[in-house]
Amino acid sequence: MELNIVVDGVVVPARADANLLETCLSAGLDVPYFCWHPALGSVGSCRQCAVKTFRGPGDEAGQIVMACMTPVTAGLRVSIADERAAAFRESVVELVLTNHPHDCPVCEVGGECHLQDMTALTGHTTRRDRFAKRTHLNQNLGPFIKHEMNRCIGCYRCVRFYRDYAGGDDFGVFGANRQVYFGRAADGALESEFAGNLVEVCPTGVFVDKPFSTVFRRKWDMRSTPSVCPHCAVGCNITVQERGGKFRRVVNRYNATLNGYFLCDRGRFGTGFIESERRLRKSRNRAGQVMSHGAAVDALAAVLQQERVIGIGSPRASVESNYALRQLVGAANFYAGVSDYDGAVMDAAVAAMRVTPVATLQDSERADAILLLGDDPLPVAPRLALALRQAAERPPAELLAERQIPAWHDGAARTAAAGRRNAVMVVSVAPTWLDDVARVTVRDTAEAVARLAFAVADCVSAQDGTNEIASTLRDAKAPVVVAGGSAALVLGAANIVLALRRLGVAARLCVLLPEANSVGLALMQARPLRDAWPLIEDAQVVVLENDVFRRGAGAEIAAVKALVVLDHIDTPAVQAADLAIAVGCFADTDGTFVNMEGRAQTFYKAIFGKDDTPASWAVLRDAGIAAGFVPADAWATHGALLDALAAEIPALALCNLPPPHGEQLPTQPHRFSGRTAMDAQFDVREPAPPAHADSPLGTTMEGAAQTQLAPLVWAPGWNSGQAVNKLPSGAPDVFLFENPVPDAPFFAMPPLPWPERQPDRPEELSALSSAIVARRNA
Amino acid sequence: MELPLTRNIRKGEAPLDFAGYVRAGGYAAVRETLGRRAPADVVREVAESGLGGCGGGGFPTGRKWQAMPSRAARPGPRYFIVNADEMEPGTFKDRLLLEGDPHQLIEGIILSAYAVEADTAYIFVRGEYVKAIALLEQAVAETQAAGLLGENILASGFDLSIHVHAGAGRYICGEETALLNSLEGKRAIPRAKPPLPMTTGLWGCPTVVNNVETVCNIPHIVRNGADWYRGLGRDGEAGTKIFGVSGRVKLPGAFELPMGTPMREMIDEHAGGMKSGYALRAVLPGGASTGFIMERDIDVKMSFPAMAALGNRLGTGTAIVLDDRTCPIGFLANLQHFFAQESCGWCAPCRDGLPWVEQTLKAIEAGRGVAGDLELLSEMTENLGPGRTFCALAPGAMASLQTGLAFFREAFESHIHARACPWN
Amino acid sequence: MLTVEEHEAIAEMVSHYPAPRAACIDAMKYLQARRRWISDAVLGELAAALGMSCAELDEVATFYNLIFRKPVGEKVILLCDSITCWMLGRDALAAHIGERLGIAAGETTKDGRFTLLPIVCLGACDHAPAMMIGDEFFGDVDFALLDDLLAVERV
Repeated sequence: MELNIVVDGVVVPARADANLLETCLSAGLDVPYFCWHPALGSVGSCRQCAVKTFRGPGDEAGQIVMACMTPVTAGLRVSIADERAAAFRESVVELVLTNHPHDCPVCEVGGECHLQDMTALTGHTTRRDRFAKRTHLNQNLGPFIKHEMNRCIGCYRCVRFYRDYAGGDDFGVFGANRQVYFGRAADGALESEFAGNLVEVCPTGVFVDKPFSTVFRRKWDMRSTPSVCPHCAVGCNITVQERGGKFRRVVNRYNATLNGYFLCDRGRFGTGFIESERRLRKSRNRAGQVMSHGAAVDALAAVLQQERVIGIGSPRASVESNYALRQLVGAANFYAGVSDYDGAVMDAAVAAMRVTPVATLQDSERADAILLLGDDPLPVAPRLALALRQAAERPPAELLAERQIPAWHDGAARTAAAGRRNAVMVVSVAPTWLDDVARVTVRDTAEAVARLAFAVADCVSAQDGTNEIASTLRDAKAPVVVAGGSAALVLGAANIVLALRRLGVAARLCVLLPEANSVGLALMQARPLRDAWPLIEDAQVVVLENDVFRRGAGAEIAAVKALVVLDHIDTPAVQAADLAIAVGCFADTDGTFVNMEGRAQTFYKAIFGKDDTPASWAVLRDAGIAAGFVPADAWATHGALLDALAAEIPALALCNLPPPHGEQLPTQPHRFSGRTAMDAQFDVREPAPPAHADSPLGTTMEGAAQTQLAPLVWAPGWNSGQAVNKLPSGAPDVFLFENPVPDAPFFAMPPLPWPERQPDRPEELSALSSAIVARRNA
Repeated sequence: MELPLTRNIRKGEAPLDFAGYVRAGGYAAVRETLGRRAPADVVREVAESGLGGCGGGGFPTGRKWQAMPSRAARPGPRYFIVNADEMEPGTFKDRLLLEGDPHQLIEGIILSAYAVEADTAYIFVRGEYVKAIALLEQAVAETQAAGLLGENILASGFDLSIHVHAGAGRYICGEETALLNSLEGKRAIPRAKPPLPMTTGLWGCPTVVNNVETVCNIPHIVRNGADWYRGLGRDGEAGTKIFGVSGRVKLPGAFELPMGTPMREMIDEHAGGMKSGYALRAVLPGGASTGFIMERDIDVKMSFPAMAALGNRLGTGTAIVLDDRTCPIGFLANLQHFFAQESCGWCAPCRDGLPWVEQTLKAIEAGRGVAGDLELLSEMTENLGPGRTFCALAPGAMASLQTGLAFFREAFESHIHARACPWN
Repeated sequence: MLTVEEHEAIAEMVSHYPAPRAACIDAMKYLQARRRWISDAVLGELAAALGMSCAELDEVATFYNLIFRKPVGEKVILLCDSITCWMLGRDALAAHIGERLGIAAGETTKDGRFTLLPIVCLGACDHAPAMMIGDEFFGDVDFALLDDLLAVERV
């Protein structure tokens, strides 16, 4: 419901279910805050967001209230500028700074610190406290997070995020009065898989990115590029930051319907693989001799011209690169580089998502009933697991309405809910991370769980009241069925959604898939890998960004005539290759992944160094041109390749996102220093900025005003990540499965035997990040 | 002068056990009320009596009870909680009632829980009151054995169990919502209101929290009626109150007196006046969270409205006397040390402001104050005042500071100019 | 490490509340009465018994000043330092204890008999200065009473 309030004489639109602080911030009015967080709600502890409200037209004096704890009502009269309120806001900053170390020049968050911004905003400039500060000892919290408790301003955001939101239990607040201490019961690595978010949740520098500290640069001195996390099929939006051709760190990039404000630690710290020693940066031949890029392209061209060339694609390579290989070897010779099990799951997922409505992460987070079938989502899709936890613990809307407690009133909502769980039902093979918040947990074998899915679908259709799972789903308004496991399970889950839809229930399907571009590859019409093995003897095999030994390849590889592997990391396949071609990783090129929701997302080249390697698709194009398979002007740009792809594979047509128009966007902040002097020790002449014409993003600080694609999270007075609240809303999402078929026939259970599942292994790229290695050993 | 609250209490004697309490007329109100009078009727009687909360707030008890949703609207569990966490400096009246007549409290709990349709009661006693805890546990056991606790008491359909919970320290546990968190086994951080505990209280259930003394009034009000209770006070006030005096008076102690008794009368007639060699300078009328009343104003009546008219509060009603040989700055520094230490640490102004106030006062007391200190302290009284902080702890601390800055300005200035304490 | 008797006592405490964690303060006080203080090991075992993590339980333990997370002497002297006791000379009593036992606030005697701690208002202001030694309360404390008590305790 929409209504209007009046702030300092100006009419401001508001939503009835929002609080006064959100309303003011949404209207672009700067009210300072610390403890409020858009995802954590309001608790009213810091007292920073004080404003004045007036009861009626006759109320001259007004009363000071905390904006984050104040509901909006029609015609509410508010003053931010009120002198008493402003003086109080300044005093709050003064008070929290009494114990603050004033170490901005040597503090990691200087220049992107919310505390700095709020201090400037309230006008506090002079320290009056001449007495001793309270001090703390720091803890060793593991390889991801550095602890500096003296900086703490007691906003409690860390413990609210870690405990209430992420369900962690090895972190808390100890002691009382000004001695309150936020940390663990004892030194040791933080156990939560989402601990890294403390770095962004903390408004000051208590929790700091430890791996980043070793390659530290100020936020204003780094290039920021919008990207997509390559470490699982969720595809959280990230910003990759670099300077001097070196990867520095990943921070969250807000996406309202996907990752929101949070990442998982694998994504945040796993991307350090970019600087791993196991990066393949130079092409080489079987003997290990380094080859120039040109020589490698020619060698690949020679391979392509042979008879019987087989191409093996990859679920961790981009849509563009998979497409390029497919075109060069011919569709009939292009194979999906995945195990039988994974391939069957991918095909089932695509078949299902073509007919059922697909749940975004936000849909899952907001669902009022969830059926989780099969695998524990935490290792497969960590950020989704976090969303499911919120779904389980969210206080029921009817209860809050009855008690007149707004949903943003976090403390009261949790107290009222008193541990009541929403309908999250888990039917799994092994314990899951959601067990402690589930209403129902059932364990059985993988085959039994798949059969149960089909049975539940039947119960839904038959409106069988004796099946608790079916009844719960039928009674829900927006249930989500999450399936992770075999192809049979996926199809059974799809049947449940179809059955619910036929009864008018707005159900959605969420399928867990293993890799960043599993869905993209599944839409490539590739042949299953097992069909390649009989043909592999005496064939030329070109493998795209894939360690085929992980996919079930073994002795067959020895029979291959020539093995060419294009990759950016050194794998056993690269070791076995006759020709290993170094290509760019996701941070070295623009490209597209399609995530588990069928959302096509573009990542952009983020690292600009001297020895950058081009994308696989560019290498394949060049080899194709050299071999005479593609015209010389083919795929001249990223956009041209996407045009060709759209024409050839309609299922991926939407990946052809609008081309850049007009001026490129800046990716360096306007305070970026030393850009022309960075290489002065090698060459004093001013270098030209790196070229990247084929992109909506420029490589300098010059450019157009940010639009929905906003590389730089900054606004005047808002230097920290909180500036995201000031940016225009994000780029529109592109979903490839938008046309569910309401009366689609039910899927049949696949006949036995079902493909055998391979043992799960840690995600390949993040396993090379030194921070991740350190954490595994901690 | 009828003094119902202390009628069974004899100095130096053990309190009445169940049998003795019954012989003295105890539990008659329970027998007359359970199953025979509608709970809403009892609530109305208490509302009409004018009884106000005795924990410091003075909020009309009947109105608090009326905010409880009915059992029909919100079926159980429903809680009635007695706040026996007496820790306000200068306050010692609840100890008197707990150690002196535990069954009076038990009877009050049964009637109160019946009125608000609660089924479980907790008595939250501060951990240091070891004797009271033992006496209460004993009294509960006796009452249970006598069939006045448990299921279907006196065939009325009313169930009630009483549990004695001992605290582990921390003044903030006396704040009713912090008490709820403590009872739930958590850190005693207060909760935001609204929602009120009556709708979302202990474990989210309907809950009423009342002070010990408030509850001890209930058996008498229920037995004798609202009119009788109103008649006990002076000059239009209702009921009696346990007041008290501590400090350098001849006879410090707790005194049950009619509400509306003038403070000077209590100090001079009941507390025997000042010890020889000491003169009364000022009084905190109701514990550390009230402001100074100077000697010239101590004819004020001890009632909630009269104190409010003076810009002060009755608070707990136990007065602390500042004599002329005690440095007022040191007095204030001690009070602020207490509040700074007892801050729960949740909200910034209290947690970070009170220690600065304490350090400033200690500096002034030690002769290390500077001119800007007074302006700073004055700003603090506004910035840590009502509505600015999450709960009433810091605003309570500011009451003595604000009045102290006004009334003892000269003392402050002489410390700063002389760089020494004139009292030492 | 926790005895069978202790586990049973904790279970009884838990029965007074709808959620096990609500008994954590009662349980810590009980264990502390038997063991003088709550060590990391005891904390860990109790947490497990109540279905809490160590951090969750230690958050509560460190909040309350009557839960000791460091060793204390056989008897803890709690000397009130609030307003009336302060006015009526508690600092001199603390100094006297310092002289007699050689300990300042927060310290324990070398023989492990006494620990001296401040405590907030004990609710006995009409008998200020007030203190507790262990579970016993003493009002109108003066040097003579202190000497008696500390001597008696010594014997």
